[in-house]
Amino acid sequence: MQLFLQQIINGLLLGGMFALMSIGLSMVFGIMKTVNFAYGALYMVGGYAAYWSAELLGLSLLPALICAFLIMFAVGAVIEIIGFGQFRGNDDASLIFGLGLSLVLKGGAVLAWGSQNRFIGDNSAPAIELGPFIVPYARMTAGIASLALIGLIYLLIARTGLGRTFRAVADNAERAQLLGIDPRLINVAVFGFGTAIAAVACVLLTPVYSLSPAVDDTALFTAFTVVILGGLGSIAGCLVAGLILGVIYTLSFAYLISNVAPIVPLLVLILTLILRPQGLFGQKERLA
Amino acid sequence: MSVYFKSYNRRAVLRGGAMLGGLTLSTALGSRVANAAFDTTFAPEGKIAVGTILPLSGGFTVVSQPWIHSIKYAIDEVNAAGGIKVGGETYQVENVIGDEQYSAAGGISAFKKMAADGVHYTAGYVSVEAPAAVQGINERSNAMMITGITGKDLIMTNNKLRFYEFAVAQATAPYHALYAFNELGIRRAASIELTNTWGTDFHLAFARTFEELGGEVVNRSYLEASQTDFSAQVSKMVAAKSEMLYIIMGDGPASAAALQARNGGLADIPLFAEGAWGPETFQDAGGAKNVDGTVYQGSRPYVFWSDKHSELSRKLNEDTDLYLNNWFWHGYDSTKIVLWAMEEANSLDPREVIEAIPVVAEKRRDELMIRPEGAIATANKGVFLKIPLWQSRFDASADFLNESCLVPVGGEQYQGLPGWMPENWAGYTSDPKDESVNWYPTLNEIEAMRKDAGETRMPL
Repeated sequence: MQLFLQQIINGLLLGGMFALMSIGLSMVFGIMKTVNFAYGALYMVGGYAAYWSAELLGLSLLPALICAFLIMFAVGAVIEIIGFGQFRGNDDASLIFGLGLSLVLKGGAVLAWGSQNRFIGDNSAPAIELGPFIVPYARMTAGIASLALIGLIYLLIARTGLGRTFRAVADNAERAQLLGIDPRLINVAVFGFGTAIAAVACVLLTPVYSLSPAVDDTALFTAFTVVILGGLGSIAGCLVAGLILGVIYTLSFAYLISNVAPIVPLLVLILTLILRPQGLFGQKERLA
Repeated sequence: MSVYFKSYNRRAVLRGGAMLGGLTLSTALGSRVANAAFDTTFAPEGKIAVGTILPLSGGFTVVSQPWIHSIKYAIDEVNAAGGIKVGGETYQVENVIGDEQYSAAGGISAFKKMAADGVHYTAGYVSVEAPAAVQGINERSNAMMITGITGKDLIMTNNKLRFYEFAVAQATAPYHALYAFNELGIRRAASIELTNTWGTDFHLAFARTFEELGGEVVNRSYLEASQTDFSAQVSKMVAAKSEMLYIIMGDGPASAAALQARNGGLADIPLFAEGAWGPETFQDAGGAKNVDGTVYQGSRPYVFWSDKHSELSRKLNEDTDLYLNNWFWHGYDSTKIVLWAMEEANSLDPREVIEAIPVVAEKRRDELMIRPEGAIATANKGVFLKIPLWQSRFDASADFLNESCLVPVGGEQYQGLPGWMPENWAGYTSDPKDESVNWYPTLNEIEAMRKDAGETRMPL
């Protein structure tokens, strides 16, 4: 029983990390309705932005994280202006642009930075013992950061003037324009912010997973699964779906044979698409 | 005039004749082109082609880059020394590179392209899947496969044109068990292995000897090559009170498994490792703390440093920003052995060249960095190089550019331990599915076999 409870704790911590990985993607989709297949690659590049900030400028983790946030905000904004923004309304072109960008970024990362695993600063942190249970420090930090970040994004969108502007554009860009809001500017800001959030997630998860060009696949797959399960664009759905998926993933690897375990999260994804395509917190869209 | 001929005038007949002539000419040319594509000589255009099949993208490039370069450096050295002299002719060697993609599909696609281009020697293959797929067709294409990834279901299948250039799990993993039990006093072991024949062989070969000695494997876990989270497995190891962790996987997943074990409640227990572990695994401060002191078996050039190392190390670092690792030595000497075997056999035909490999391994031993103790020629499974290994521990503080990152440990029996199974092992003549064969003999059983085979080198 103790081991089972430990696995539940592991699953919840992992779920928090899954949610953290997915917030940026969910936000960009929720507000801009853009399916960003370059999300995993941008997540990975964000990690390298922090890594090289730390290496070249001698920064510790927090200043490196802030650097990565700013750099990736700018990168996201530029990508929106010269890329996704040009294809708005053309889903096929957006999708192909995202996939192409992802391949270029990943290949470029291998060529430019090599594929060895990297760490930002000293990642050795002892596990915390809570009675009979063990909580790895890095996972706990990532879990708390995930909750904090989700809370902040929720407050930003639901309780601030800027958030109202975001929601107005999400609801009806043309009507928002009539009110004097520039939807292009909002899209640039949202895409930049979503990309910067992805970078923050990657930096916070580096002490757990390390950093290499290969992390983009995991991030993309995880983020899409969480966002589809939680409901496209739902911030709360992101958290709940992350936690559910984290527990399912952990229990699968703990109690099923290794060949079967990786399939279980995929089954959850397929079942969601069949039984509740709008996700747990998504709303059904009317066709007419 | 008949209705059938009335539309044919002289111009039409001439046009038809021209078309027929063109068709005949193009058929003749096409046939020549086709013949060129399936050239049966072994040195098309006067050059010997050696193909390298390794991942060119993705996470495994960190492993494959040194390997790719080691094959190239070996070829460059042979060319610089005058090339390969066979049948009164001197041949230069060219290196062709294909993308394995760490998959069966990638490996087979790269191999087929090379075979169609007249390449009869292919080296590399870092995954289990790619060589498993290729070895169904390499014999039919009369192409030698130079490979070093162990696993009975991979290397014990019939393949007369396989040159196996590294140690086998059955021979080496028992020494980990001996070292853990006798030298470190470990009684409860946990292991995490890649779910394929490579991982299975290392685990079972370790477990049989460890259990015979009186130890217990308290947790056996598995991982997938793409897996990133190991918290579920680590918690089970903690709960089982494991005193050591044997990580049977290299590169990214291994690094992540070590990190998560260290931060997940297994902070102080010894780590043992197989696969791609090298300077690239721990060149950052964080990585160093995770894997410093990990027990690993290295080949001679991975453990001992020479002037040649300094030369190769600088070159590799300039070309790739990486360091000499275990995988570099997979490619460097084995390529030279094959090229020298062509001279020894006085032939470029892989079927004759492979028979000369054992002779070269003995005759030119001192010119090889790995110092093989000969090679075993089997009836149907190709040739297996006899490579000695050193039980060692990683020193993460080493200057990777100028010194080895491995420090030998243990007594005399761990130094130059035999990485091959004795010639009388039934595995060399049996089908890997044959359950009557002792596929994972204990160290005592292997010792008895070596005695029966008359091997002079007695490790215990």
